[in-house]
Amino acid sequence: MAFIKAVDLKGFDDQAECLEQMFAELAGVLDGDKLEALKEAVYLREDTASTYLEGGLAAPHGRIDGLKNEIVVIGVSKDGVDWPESGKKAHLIFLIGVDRKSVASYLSLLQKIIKWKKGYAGNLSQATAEQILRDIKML
Amino acid sequence: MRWLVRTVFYLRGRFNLRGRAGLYFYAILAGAFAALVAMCFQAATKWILFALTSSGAGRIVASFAEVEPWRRVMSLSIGGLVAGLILLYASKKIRNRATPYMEALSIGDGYIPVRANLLRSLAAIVTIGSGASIGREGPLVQTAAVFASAFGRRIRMSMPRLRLFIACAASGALAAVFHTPLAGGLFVCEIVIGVMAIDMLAPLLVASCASYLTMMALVDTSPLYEFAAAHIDMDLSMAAYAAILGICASLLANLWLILLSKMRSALNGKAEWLPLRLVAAGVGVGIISVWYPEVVGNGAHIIRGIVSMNFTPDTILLLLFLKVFSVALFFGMGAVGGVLTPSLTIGGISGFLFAHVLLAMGVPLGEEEIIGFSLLGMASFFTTAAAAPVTSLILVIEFTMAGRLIFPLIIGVLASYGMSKVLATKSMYAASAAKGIKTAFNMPLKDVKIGDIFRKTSDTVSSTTLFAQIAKIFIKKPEYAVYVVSRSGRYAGAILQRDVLGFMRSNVLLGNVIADDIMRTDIPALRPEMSLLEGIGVFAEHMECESLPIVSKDKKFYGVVNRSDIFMGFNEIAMRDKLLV
Repeated sequence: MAFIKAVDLKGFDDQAECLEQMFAELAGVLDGDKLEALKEAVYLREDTASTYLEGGLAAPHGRIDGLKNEIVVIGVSKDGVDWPESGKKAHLIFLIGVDRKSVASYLSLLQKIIKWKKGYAGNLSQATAEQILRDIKML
Repeated sequence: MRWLVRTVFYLRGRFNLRGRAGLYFYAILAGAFAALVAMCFQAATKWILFALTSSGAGRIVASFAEVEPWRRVMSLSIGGLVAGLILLYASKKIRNRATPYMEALSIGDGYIPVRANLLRSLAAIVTIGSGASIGREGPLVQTAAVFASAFGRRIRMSMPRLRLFIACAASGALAAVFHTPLAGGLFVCEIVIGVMAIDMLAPLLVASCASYLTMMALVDTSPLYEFAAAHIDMDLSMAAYAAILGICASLLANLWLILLSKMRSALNGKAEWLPLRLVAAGVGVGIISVWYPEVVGNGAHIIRGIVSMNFTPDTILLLLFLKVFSVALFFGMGAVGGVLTPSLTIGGISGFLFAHVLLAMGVPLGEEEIIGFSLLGMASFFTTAAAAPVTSLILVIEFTMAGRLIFPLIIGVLASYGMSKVLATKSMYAASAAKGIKTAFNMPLKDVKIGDIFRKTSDTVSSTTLFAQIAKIFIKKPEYAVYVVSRSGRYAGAILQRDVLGFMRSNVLLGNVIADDIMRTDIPALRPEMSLLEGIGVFAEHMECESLPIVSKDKKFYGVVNRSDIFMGFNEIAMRDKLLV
């Protein structure tokens, strides 16, 4: 996993605003074109079908060309972010960017996150961004 | 558990029915099924024979010899009438014409309409069972081919594979009817497909062996005309006689083919008159059978008589004329039946008479050598009639077990084949194999397009299809890929089994991931207008791809071409091209 960062989404409850906050973390990591392509891919995917998984977990993602390593930005929201289509609040948002050819690594990443979340002992809505980041880096 | 899923998928992948191993599985299936069809067909003709003659003798000539003369005429007339009415009904009420299996295999796409052909099979059962002087092999093979075509289309076989599957059923049926597993496969390869290549022959032989074993398990499979002692003591003069017989048999076969063609064009008129024509043929042959019951049936009785030396030269000469007349009459009048055994009979008679001419010239010949020359005449005659030297040679050896005849047979068969080439003879199967709608398999290789041999498939999903649904498709059919197509039919990408295999047990993934998430867009697509060679080039560049989608310029999804199918098609067409040069 080449890039992983956590961000506290305190004060934001709108999905689009939260995603923009998370994309902002990638400004220095991806060049402008790739960031735009990822944004477009993530929004297009979200329009196609909701990426809300279960138990306050959502995984918006996009697959674009020329991404050497996976990118994960974790958004943590104690109050929860309204996730359209699902009608639920997401407390933990994993923004994932993978290369278009890396199907298996995308599924593997998603599976690890789901497994981690299942085994998470504490209350997800009370977890801080630092705690989550530490945990995820251990995966 | 993941290792178990992987192991199961690995094994299913190795024995994928769409791959090379699947070919042989289907060949065994086709062969075994063809044997059952052959047994049912023969049982049905025997039942018709019993119903019409009330004789329990079983064999046609024996049954006719047992019953009163009027009953012989009546049996053939009623058989002709009923068969004619069935054929008339089929021609008036069923829109699809009956496609001969030879046409479907040699130039067609493997589609053989079921109803029209099964009615023809029914008409053939009635005709043959009533004692008509016509062969049962053709309709029997056709019946097996109809079922194979229907089954193959039902499980959506690709065109090359469907054709091979039908060919396997035809091989199996021939092996079952003649008790000749090797000749069964050779017949289809040499005569019907027209290509003698091991890739093609191997599955056909698997099918004919499966058929033979099935027959062996259920009925007697001893050689039809066993006479292993038949031989010709070879020296230069005997080799010359064998060559002369080969040339004479070829000339006779040419006359036979001309007679069949003339009779068909002279006697086979309007469909409405077919029942009456077949009644007339029945009455004609029925009257002859009053004095010579040997003329009924396909001629197997005469072959057995020759091999057992039951006939004098005078009788056999008379039987030659009567048999030629009665077969040509039924054939000309439009009866459904084959001319394979009748051709072998005429060939056998010609060899028998040739041996007696040699005897009259003072050439010392024993009984076993006379039979040897009869078999030589049979093989040589059939070589020209069917344009099939290898099949003729093996067929005669297999159903007599006279292995010592091999060398004289080679000389006779080659002489006959050479003569047929000099005379540019068109075989009796040429017409069946040449008419009908032309497909890729009758085009020069350079003209064959990818769109001509693709497989239509319904195993497509939309971009929002859940992973669970996609996993179900992969579990049901272990395909290399599932293709993603929009509702308007536009191609979007491919989901590869190897990408998702390890994740098919995660319920959360199955319920949340969609096709769009796991779809690849870097899989090359073939164009329908691409040549077969260009298509093979793409496969060669992407060795990891087991199948590729066919997508038009405007992104419309046409179907899929499997690696094994494209190479199978190429192999067959290229071999045919090479032979035609």
